Amino acid sequence: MAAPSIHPGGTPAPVTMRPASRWTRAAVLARALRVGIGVAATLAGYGFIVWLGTVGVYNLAYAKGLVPALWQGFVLSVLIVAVVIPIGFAVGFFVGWARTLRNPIVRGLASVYVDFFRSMPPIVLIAFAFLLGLIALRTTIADPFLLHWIILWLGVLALAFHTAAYQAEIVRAGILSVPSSQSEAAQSLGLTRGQTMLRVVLPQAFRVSLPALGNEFSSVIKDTSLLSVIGWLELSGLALVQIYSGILVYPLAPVVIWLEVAVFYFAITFALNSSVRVLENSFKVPGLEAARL
Amino acid sequence: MGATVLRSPAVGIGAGVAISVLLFFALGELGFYSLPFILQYLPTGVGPAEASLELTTLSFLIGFGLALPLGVIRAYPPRIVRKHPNVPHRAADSLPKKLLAWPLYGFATAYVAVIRGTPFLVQVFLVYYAVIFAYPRLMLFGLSAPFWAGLLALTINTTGYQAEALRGGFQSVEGSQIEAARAIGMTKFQTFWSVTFPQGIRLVTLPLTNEWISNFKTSAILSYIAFAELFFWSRTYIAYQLARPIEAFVMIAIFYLVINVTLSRVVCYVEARRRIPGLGTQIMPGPHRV
Amino acid sequence: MSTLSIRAVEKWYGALHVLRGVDLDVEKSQTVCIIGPSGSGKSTLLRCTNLLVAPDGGEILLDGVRVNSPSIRPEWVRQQIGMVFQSFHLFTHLTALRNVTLGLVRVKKLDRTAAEAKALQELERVGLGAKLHAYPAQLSGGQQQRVAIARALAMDPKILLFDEPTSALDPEYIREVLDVMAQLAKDGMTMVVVSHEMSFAREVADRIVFFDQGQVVEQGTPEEIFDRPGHDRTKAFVGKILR
Ligand SMILES: Nc1ncnc2c1ncn2[C@@H]1O[C@H](COP(=O)(O)OP(=O)(O)O)[C@@H](O)[C@H]1O
Ligand SMILES: [Mg+2]
Repeated sequence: MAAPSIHPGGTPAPVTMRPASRWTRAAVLARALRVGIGVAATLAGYGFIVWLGTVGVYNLAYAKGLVPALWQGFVLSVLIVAVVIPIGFAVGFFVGWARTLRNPIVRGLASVYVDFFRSMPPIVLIAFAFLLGLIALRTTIADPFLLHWIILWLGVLALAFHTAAYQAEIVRAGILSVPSSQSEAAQSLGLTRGQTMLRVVLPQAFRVSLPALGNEFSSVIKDTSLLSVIGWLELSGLALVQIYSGILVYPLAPVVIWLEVAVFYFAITFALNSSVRVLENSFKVPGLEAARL
Repeated sequence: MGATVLRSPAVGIGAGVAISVLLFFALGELGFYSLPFILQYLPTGVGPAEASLELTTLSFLIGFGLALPLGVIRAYPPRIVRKHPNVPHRAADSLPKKLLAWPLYGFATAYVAVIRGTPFLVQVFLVYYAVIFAYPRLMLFGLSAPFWAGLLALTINTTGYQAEALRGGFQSVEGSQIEAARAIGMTKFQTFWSVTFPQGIRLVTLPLTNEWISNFKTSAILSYIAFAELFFWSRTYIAYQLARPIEAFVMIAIFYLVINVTLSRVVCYVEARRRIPGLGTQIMPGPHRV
Repeated sequence: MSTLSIRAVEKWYGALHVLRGVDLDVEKSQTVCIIGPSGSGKSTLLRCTNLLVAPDGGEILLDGVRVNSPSIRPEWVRQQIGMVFQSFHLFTHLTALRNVTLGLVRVKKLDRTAAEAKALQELERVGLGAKLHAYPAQLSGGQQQRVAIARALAMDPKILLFDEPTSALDPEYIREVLDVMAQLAKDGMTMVVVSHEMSFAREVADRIVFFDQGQVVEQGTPEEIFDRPGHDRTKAFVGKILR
């Protein structure tokens, strides 16, 4: 086939070591447009909500008064997320890796773990971690405050173990998505099995898993709302508390409260999703994308 | 040879089942919980389990009907953000179509983003209080507010997740397939129903099954608006009324494990057996849903 | 009147001028073979011909009727003009038989039995009467391409376009596809074939068109183009593929 000469002028083009920039002008424009539309939509939504309040669809002053209290809950929610995600990832990584091993006992135990924690609704795990923790510890721990503190955190732990099971599946699929030819190539270069895993398999698995992990992290954020049922005063917990006093102010209070809470949650998950997307772009390697389903 | 046998999924599943059953009886014999009690009271959970399953399935089916148009709208964004290359030439859109496309796409996108971006707990309380506020003494077909609020909330929720699954399925149908359909003279509509839909649905069989399971698990939250489902039964009846919290946990675990593990295994098996050669992708597991 | 006339067709992809005023006529029952360097716009020309891609200028005449006009449905045009792709593009979720019947049922509105009879006839014509119920992934590349030809034939097109039908095939399967195409030419099918298969171009084609940089550079009988090319560009290109 008549491919045109690569060097028509006779002088070879300089060898570029970096791939062409992803930040082409069109891409930057598209991104700016997206951000612009997002900001505009948010402002419009905010304006609309305030307008509804001023025309008396709901009690605007009451809604505004809620914000400081809910903000405290928001901070606690973020804190809990910051505890759950690392624990979940650490456990999930090892369980997921164990699921790719040969030993049927190790694999069986890891499968039981994954099946159990994936099959149970997180709210059931949290509620029973609290209840069973209470029963198990109430005779050994005399201090009621310490006891309560411990069982509250048991609920958080239950959540971490739950997300760990999902992350295990993501890690496993990521590892299995790296073709065995990659390990063979690495080992034929003389890399040890550990080096092969660390230098070749995991970096590829990580890139493939990143979008799924991001989704799972935003599930964790939403899951923390379930901790309110055992008495955590995070975002949803505070909302539950506010309802009792609010309903006396006017009957629509619960709806206003939950709407406001929804906005807070949306803000966190949206921020997280956007950061994951940025991360994804900065680690992007052509030919290594996850199937987006 | 031996290694490949050890690696086969059947061995893993067998080991898993054996470990769980052993664990169940061993812990019972060791006195962690009472085996006779569990065996005696397990049948009382069948009614609540049916309630859970019915509500889950009903909302899932209604949700599928609503998610289909949303998924289609999301799969084919209006021009400027079109991400699907290779789609053959389209005639220039007429003005009404253009004017309609953006609001529809905006609505679908916002719907999916809001549903997936907020916890179900918040959604269900919102719906519940709104329903209570609008119809304080709701009673329809002998069913009261917890059922209807639960059904509404669950349907609204699963619609968002299914729409996203379907979008993914439709978008992963290859552009060449669409081009081939267009080349034999099929219209866009015919191409969708004869090619994109059947292929896309096959690609999302497993994600949709996972979505049903998620929906089932999510329905446990309805326990807190006093809908008498599995978790409500185990929590209020077994754990508090009969004062058997440990047994309550073991019993509800049995229900969820048996239903969810069996279903996902069976669907995986059937999907693998009935898969059309060459159609199907290795996909990442979806996130869990709340 | 030519079966197909392409007149001054233009196509731009953004700033890239891919087709620069292409003129081409194909008479009934002729086989025209288009050769030319990769990237010169041959695939784009075929796609413009059956309106899978909208030409930006010029006209496409089918039996003297201008078909790239707003008053004519592109679906109708594509039904008249069959297309065979380089990488087959068989419907993955349908068996060989159903691949062929789909267009007959949906587009031509035949009932199922009539469609199946017609499909069977076309599949036997390409030598695949025994593979009716195989899925594409269960067929070899050569078999898939023959199903694709049967699928196009079943629509009774006035003309068939082939876009490098053998270049995605393993060498051992090329012959069977070329044989089917040669038989079609003998049966009087009107065909436009983008291909660099010399045996086919020499023995089957009535006319060779050398295409470069979005234009028809030169055309003539196989002997004229391969043995006595007039243009330097043709000479250089033919020299490369004949080697
Ligand atoms: N959909 C498209 N968008 C942008 N450029 C395209 C597209 N299709 C083809 N091109 C460009 O048009 C030119 C001609 O392509 P093509 O018709 O495929 O050439 P050929 O089939 O002769 O190899 C190439 O430079 C190609 O990159
Ligand atoms: Mg080409």
